[in-house]
Amino acid sequence: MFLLPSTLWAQYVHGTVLVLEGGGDYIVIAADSLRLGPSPSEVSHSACKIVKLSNQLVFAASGITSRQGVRNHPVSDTWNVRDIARHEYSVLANEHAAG
Amino acid sequence: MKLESKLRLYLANGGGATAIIAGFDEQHQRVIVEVKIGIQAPGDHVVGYAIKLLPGGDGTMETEVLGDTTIAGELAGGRTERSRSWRSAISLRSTGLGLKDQLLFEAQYVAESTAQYDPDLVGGPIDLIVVTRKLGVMWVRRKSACRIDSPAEKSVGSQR
Repeated sequence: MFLLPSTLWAQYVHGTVLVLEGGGDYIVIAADSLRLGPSPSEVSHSACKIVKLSNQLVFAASGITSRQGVRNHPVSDTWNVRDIARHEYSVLANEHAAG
Repeated sequence: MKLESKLRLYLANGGGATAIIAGFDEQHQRVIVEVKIGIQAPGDHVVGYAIKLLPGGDGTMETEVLGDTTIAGELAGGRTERSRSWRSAISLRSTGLGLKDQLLFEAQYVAESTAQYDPDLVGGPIDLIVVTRKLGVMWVRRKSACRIDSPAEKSVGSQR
């Protein structure tokens, strides 16, 4: 990934490494915590990049995984893939349970 | 929705997002699905997605690195002096470990090494999670900021 510092760009980007190791009866995922943005040059080390979807399933993502909405912008939503993944999994699980 | 020009440039250069959904299905088979979102073919102007089911047979070992793969690639290549020293360290420190602990150690080592050598893009505490066929999902390391999400989840080992 390369960085293009700008206000708009910083709303999208965070650096990431996700390492998945699978073998035998196990799957392991490691993730860092760095988040860039939402404002230019803003860095935090509190990003949660691994999501437990159920007792048997996890989700993790890298790249453009969130966006901070711009105040007073008519089509600018705040979103992140963790919440979307949780929501979609929940909907599917409920549908599956309902048969 | 109109994309900002810099985002469009990023996507045109192969950027986007990649997600992994991993675990065990209802038949207790290992399932690893990778979803890549971005421009799927050079010259395209539309963002699409591609889904890939990674091999998950019991006899296979999988290693997948997403995001900043520079250090992992160097480690896998083993052509530099430092990558050979990383390999020696992994081999030395994982000798005698069971499979689960070996996988945990290797994943953590690659993530921490990437953070050490590429601190502009990767850093902070490393979160570590394991899914086992019999016991399900268990956190091994999880920073406090992520415990707010789901405090009732079970953990193994030490959390930092």
